[in-house]
Amino acid sequence: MAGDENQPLNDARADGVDEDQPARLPDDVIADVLRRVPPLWLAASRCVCRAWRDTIDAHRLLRADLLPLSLAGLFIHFNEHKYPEFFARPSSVDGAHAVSGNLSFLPSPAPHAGGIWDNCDDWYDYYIHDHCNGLLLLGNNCVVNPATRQWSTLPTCPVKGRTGRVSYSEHLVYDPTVSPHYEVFMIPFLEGNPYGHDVDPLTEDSEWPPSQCKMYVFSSISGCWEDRYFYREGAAAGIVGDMPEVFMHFNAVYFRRALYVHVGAGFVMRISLSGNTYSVIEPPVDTTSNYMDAHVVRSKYGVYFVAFENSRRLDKYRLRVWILNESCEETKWMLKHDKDLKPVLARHRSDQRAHGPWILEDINYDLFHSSRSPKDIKEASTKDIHEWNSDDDNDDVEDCYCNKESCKETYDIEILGFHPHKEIVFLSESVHTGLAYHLNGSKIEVLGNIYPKDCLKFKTILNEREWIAPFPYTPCWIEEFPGNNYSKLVL
Amino acid sequence: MATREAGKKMIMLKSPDGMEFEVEEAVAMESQTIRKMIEDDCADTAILIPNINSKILSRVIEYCNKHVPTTGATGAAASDTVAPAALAEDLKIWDAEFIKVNRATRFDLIQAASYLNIKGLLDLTSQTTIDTISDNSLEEIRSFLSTKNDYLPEEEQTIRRENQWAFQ
Repeated sequence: MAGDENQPLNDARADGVDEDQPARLPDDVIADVLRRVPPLWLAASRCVCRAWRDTIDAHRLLRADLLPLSLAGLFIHFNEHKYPEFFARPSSVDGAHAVSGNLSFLPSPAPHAGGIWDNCDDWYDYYIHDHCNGLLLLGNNCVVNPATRQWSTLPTCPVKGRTGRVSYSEHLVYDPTVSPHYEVFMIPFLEGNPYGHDVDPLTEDSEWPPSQCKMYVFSSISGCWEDRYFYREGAAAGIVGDMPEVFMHFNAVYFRRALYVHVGAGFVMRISLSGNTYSVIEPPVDTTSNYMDAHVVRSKYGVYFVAFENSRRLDKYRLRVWILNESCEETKWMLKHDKDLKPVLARHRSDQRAHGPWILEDINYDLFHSSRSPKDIKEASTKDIHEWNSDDDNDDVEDCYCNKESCKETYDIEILGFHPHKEIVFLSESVHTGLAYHLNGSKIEVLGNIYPKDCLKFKTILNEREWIAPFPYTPCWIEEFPGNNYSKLVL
Repeated sequence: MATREAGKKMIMLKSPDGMEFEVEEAVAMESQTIRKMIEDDCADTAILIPNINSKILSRVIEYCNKHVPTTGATGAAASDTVAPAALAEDLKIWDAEFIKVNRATRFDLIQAASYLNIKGLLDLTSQTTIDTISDNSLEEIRSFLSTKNDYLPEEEQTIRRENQWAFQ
């Protein structure tokens, strides 16, 4: 709960006269007031007194079951596949909510006709640029909640594309425990300038990021974009001329009113949304090497930095994980885990799966290649999914990953994501097998096949390697979605 | 009484302490409770508003009077001479003045807004309570509400654990 400082309650003091009067309101009136309180503070309000807890519970004001508090599975978008695939353990619980990558409810400039695969030129429309607490930001400028199937199209951002070396990456900020509204941030980064034909407004020796950093922010409250300046606290990352070119994608996490953006070029920006300030955080390791797969993620104890030195050629599979410690004056990365995954991957016995594997939804196959009737597809796309409870698995995970060639020399490992509440890294092997790596005990568990059915049929170049955009997904089932309110305001 | 004649029809509201207030129907219908009574033809003579004394009722009417031209008119019927944004700004300032009352009065207003179902007034009057809940510690909320913590320490721990995510 916010604000443990001993702030005086101005009102209570100013009232004076009625200070001693009991402030009793009837139960249903209290409920009317509490209905307006966001879930985070409702949860705290249950601790005020028994009467409040009873009111909140009797009126079902706090619906924690609708909040994005549990992991349902992973979204994995394969290139040239129209919709993202959902990868999760099928539910054994009847009536659990269903999650699907089927985004056909969104308006499409090229709606597919009759299940015939049309080479799907529009697959990039459904590419997930960012996600936050159950909301996705797609390539077609839609903010969508795939759980409730609500969506909204953003108005055109004043900047889309680059000016000189400066480009923008877009990030969603959404916390339904505090507000039903979301924001989209356009955060500047430096691109290379191989052709040199753009007029560059930045001089090579100016600081980067600038002390006064201009971002574009969309708010679902106002329904429009605005320029917002964030002021740097502390040192810059360097000067423009020294900034490495950025090829990698970016990622960001939102934690306690701050957005942590890993901008690829060797630093993390911590943007404080309440203070309109930002600071540069040096990553714990040089991330500019080609073999370094680096992510800033959120998990059990806050913000984590994951660096995976991943090279088949060099036979290196070193995974390091740090936790950001912001409690002291100086923010520090504390090394949590440092492990060469090769022996872990190699040490497997015969196939002993303690639990049934996770299943890839195969929505693209179902919609575009399957000979099944639309009714079957509908049923298939609403498979019941429940939270994966890795606690159940902990006892059994050791050595249950079986690689068919037990002495295989190299591995093709990619990071799929980090569990948002537990210290577990999701990995893929050869873009075929989904794995869960538990930091505690360095155990690997096979989750299941992630390779889509008939994948070759989706490819333009048959031997091209698949590339995937994956992330762990915590669905939000809250119906309140601000998009509908401002559709009138935008053209 | 069944038909509405825009802004002309007058309604009599009575408080339990015997005061009578004559108000325009449109103003009275800011209250969804009264609107329903009018629409159900239950408002032939005067409407008795139980549990709301004349002091509070007059404040509620004052609020409704101020808010009637803009709410529900979806901007189209807003004044021709004043820009809607300026009008909204003016209302905000007026609201801020209106809510400068002591706690007992505010709680009475909350109760009246809840009973009469006036969303804007309930939003406004609840706001301080909501702010108190979101900006202060549990102890401060309890003192603001003159409520005692009636949990045993271990009980409170259990309640916290039920929604551990909110206390991280």
